[in-house]
Amino acid sequence: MPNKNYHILIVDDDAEFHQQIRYAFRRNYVFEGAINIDNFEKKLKERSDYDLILLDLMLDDTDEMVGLELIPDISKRYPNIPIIVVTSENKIDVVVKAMKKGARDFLSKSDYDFDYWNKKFQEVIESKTLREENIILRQEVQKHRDQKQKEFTFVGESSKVQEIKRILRLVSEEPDITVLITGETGVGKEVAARFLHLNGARKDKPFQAVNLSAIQKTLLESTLFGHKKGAFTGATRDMEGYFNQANNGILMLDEIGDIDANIQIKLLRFLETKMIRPVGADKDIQLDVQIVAATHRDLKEEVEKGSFRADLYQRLKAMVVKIPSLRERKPDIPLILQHYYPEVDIKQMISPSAMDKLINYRWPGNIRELKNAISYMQLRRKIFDKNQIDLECLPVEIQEFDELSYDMGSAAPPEPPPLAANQIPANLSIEEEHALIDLRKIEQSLIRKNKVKKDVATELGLENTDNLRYKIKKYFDKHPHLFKDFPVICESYKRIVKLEE
Amino acid sequence: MSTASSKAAVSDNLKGENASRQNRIMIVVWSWQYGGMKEYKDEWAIEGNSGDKLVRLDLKMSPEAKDLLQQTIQSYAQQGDVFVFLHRRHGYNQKNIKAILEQLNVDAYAESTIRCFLFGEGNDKIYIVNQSKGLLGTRGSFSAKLEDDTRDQAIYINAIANEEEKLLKRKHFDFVWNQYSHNFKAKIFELKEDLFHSLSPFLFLKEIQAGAAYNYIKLNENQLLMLRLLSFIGKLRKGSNLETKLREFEQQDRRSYFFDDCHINLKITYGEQLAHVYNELCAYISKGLLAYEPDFSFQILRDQFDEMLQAMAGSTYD
Amino acid sequence: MKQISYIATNQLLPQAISTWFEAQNYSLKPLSIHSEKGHPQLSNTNILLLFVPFFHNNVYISIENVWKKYVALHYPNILLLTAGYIKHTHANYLDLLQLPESLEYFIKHAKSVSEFDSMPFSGGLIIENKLQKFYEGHGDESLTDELGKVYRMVTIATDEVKIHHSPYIEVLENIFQANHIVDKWSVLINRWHNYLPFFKGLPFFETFKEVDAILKQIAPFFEQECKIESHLIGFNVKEKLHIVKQKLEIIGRQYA
Repeated sequence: MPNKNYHILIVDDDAEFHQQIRYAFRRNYVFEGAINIDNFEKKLKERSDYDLILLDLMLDDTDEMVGLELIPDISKRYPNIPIIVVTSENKIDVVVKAMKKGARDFLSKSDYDFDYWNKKFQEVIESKTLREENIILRQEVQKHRDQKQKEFTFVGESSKVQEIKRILRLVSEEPDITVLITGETGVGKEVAARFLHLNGARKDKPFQAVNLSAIQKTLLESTLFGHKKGAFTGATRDMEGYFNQANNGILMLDEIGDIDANIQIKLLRFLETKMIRPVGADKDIQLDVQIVAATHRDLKEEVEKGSFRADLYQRLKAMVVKIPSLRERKPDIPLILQHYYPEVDIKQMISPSAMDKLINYRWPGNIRELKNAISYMQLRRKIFDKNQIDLECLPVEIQEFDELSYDMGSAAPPEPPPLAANQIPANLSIEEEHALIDLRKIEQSLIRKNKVKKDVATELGLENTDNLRYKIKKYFDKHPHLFKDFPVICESYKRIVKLEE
Repeated sequence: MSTASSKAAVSDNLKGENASRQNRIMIVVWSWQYGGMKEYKDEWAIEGNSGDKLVRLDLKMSPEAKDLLQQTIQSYAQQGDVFVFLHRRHGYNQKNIKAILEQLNVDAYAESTIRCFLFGEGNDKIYIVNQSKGLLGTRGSFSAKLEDDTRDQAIYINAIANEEEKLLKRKHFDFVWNQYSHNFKAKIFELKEDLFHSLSPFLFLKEIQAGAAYNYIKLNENQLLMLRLLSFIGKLRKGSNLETKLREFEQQDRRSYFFDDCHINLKITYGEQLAHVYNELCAYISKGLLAYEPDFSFQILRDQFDEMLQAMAGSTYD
Repeated sequence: MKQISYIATNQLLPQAISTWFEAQNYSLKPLSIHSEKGHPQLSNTNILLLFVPFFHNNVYISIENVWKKYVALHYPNILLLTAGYIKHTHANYLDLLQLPESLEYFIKHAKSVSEFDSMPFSGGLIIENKLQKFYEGHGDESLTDELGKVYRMVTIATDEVKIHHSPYIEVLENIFQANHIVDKWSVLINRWHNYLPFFKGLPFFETFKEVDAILKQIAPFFEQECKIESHLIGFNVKEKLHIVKQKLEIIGRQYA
């Protein structure tokens, strides 16, 4: 039985029709009526939460279907009030027009049937409730998106950044082109990819980003392309992969230089045919996904080494966008700091000397490192109970960074001077530099926290000790030679760090 | 073609095609006082706030009445298109129409269409009795009680929307106006079809002797056809027995057969050229169907009818 | 001798021309439009000839294109011809003032209804326009609009009485009297009688006659100003109006 509390507004110049419908449905709904447009407007001003409008198309003595013209306006102004057109005019083209303009359903006055009409009223009112819930959900999603957006805003006004933004905007006009974003680790490759998404034709479609190096190799194929139930042990149900989830939108494949040959072939196949085949499936799926790949590696070099397919590289390099390192865009550093401290004036918050240090530091970990440094500086400021971030609040490697000596060092002198505690050897790769900085932080923290790993993880902003352990393992797998300078780490993680004698 | 009539013809043709229409005025001379009208003249508006109106006049034909009527037409022609309906029983005939229309300064009303119709005996389309959306009811009124064998019960029809406000129903006004817009064309079309249909026993004979058609039409059973043809060619004498007979046929068949208002209206409305075609058609009918003309062709007769119908703008029926 | 079924206003013309047809080895047989089950008996007909325009109700009516639609829908194999006094060259039109030398040859070259769009216009009242007005969703000339109003009121009233057991006096006052159903019925019947004669020459006229009979059956209920409760239920007024609506809607969907 319908809810008597539902309020229906009848808009019809035929007063007798009002009376008949009110009488027939008096046990089921509460009705109000308007017999002309002015009256209709007045009713809507008085009350904007009707559950349904029954609208006739003929609202005066003329043959004009003025009701038809009202539908878009009412739908726009009162999107939560559904409209059912109830009219004598039952030509199919009129019905189609009314529905196109936003009416939810159509009832012919000459085909009155209580049960049918009642069913229609209920369906539309119930769908209205669902729609309202849907609106709330959409608002939640939008809120989440906005947060993400803020997190991934491409901050910067330096000429390099402006140029990159210009290129990205041009690229975004090509919704099917494959884009390769390169740059050092932490420069904001995902930020660039999201910028591309936000400015392109696919902006209302999904954006999925996946760090390929963070996924176990054995699970990578299933994670990317999905799998069918029973495809492998543990596949208890069908699962969509990232490609499916990004359908019609953009899929960002970060650290593409780290994928193995099997995945490279499958990715190449997708780029050529736009088809994927989930693990365990016997049919291909056609998808419309724009691929934005990113890597900090030199793919050309990887091709020469034979670890990356030349044909895939050819495909990917069609449009390469190189994101500059933070040290190449020093004028942006205060802007980035302000972005992460939106509530305060950054010039007040950071002392000029500290700002100088921040601007002139080399930032091997780029924006990611700057972001970590911000957390660190805030914590230090609180610990020292200071109003302003000064030199003392800066991470030690920034405090002690000697721009001049670094610059001299990087000029490759014939005999490098002995390394200061925080100096970085000039012959290291960017990746090694980054690892070295992280390892130094861990070493120092272990000393400060008396090797209590939980405290170290907390101090370094890691979620738990597993993450700390994973980090050390990752560095040791890649750069074991760096560990000889970190005895406390070696001792604390004996099972992982096994240095050759 | 005279300048005046050609202008009128052009004007009418344009009006036939144009969507934007001007005011429409009917002047109806009838026994209104019998139905309760106090003065000799009054004016009724039509539903929908337009400039359309119906002017009631109760004037028996006389030289003074003719002048008054002429002045009335002139004054309303400045407001829009005018259809004048003259009741035969009030003494009006085709000569009066001719005189009235010819004396109007057509140039002054080139923007307006003026047409004049004769009616009477309840069988014209202006009557409610013929079509339920007519205007004239019984005895000088706008209402009628309809009774015939297609209905079980009598139906009361009223063309008045609001008596106090002197307001008539739009649908009745529109219906009559539209009927008379097509009136001549429909009547001529019907004559043509009826003519060939009536002649059908005679049409498909292998050989048709000269004068055979005339002999056939002269037969008593074809008297109606003969009288209609005579009326069409303007040879039905006013007040004659034949005229009375045709009127009886009208009553009996509930159809309008007289063409006494046709000729002058065709000339005024459609111009000299159509009047010429009409005259030629009349001449062909006279010699081929109403005389012993040896050189007569039904196909030529058909072509002449078609030429005339095609020259009259608009559709045959509403 | 081959047979041609025909429809004409009266027998005068067919009789007059039958000699010519017989000389061409064809016989003419009148087809009754008013046959059983709403359809003319065309199942044994190969050729159907319409003498046009059809004269009825003091008006010449052009019925040819409704027939064309009808034949195309129900008897696509029938060869449809028209004959009249207009001058026209159409493969399926016989000009009665210029008959062909050979009817056999003419018929051989005539087209099936699916091969052409329309029959040549016979010059009379275009019956499709009348049908269109009859079926218009609203307006002073629409019959279906007025029928819909009466049907809606009767349905509401019947539901009240049958389902909700409302007192009849309440239904009478709230539905029938408040909405002037007697006046609406009168308008409906008046329009019906105005339209009916125009449709006489149409293939589905029998359906209109059936509708006319049903309307007559329920008329007493309205003539008693809807005051007699037993008439509403006993005459099955709602159900009969529903049948009327359905019968008319089927025609409307195809021809209006």
